[in-house]
Amino acid sequence: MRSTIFCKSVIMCPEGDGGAEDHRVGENGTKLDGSKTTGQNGKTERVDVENPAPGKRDGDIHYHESNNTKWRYDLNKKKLVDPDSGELAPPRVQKALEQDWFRKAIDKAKKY
Amino acid sequence: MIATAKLEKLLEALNSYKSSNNFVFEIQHLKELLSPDFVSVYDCILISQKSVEVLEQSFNKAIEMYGDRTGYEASNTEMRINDYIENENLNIYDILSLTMLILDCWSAKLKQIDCEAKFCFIISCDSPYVTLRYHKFRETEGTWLLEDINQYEGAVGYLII
Repeated sequence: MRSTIFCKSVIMCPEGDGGAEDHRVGENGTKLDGSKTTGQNGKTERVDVENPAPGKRDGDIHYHESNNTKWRYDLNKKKLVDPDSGELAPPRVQKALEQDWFRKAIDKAKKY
Repeated sequence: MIATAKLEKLLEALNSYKSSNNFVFEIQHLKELLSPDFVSVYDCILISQKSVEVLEQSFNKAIEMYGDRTGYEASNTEMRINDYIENENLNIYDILSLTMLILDCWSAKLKQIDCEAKFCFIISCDSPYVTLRYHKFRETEGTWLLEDINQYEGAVGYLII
């Protein structure tokens, strides 16, 4: 079963409002046992969504560059960020956001 | 291994599977598969090319993003095995067989780094892809996956060593 709660919970809990304890990203979404690829461009470049324990852990969307470097998609900023520090990825990486396949993959990922 | 019926079925078939396929690797990819850069940071063991100092500086932010150490490690250590193999004529059993070998290598290395810790290795298969990840098993945080593995529809399992 799919749900759009991924988006809904983000609206309910913008960063810093202190509500993250009550509502988790993807809390009513589909249980995924690992990374689910929602869009791929070539052999390794792709967008994955993870939601292993809805309601217990936040769901997560990330992007793998063709060299397999991983970036996290920040649902609030709508930007790619460093998966360790949360700092914005360089403009070179953000360009992926402009690509059609990428946008479709993000939209699909949000539906899990 | 605690596994869903789908993964159990794959693992049973793997026992009698004899591959005649050859694997082709770039040497750097083989190194990344068998001996990735493990880095210890505040009771986490990550796979990263960043320095300990850099990872320590961003550690609190990472925990904020992933919820806890388990979430951070499980996300950070995710490796889709197929991405490191050059040839594409391999089947799911070939990849799964290689994944079990990598799991053995990682567990030996990780136990060298922290012999007291228990590590939870998670294998998930979404044919033709196989993904391996791990986290330290912490009683207070539990497994990254749901306790009842049968809540998942796909081929997934975990092994705590």
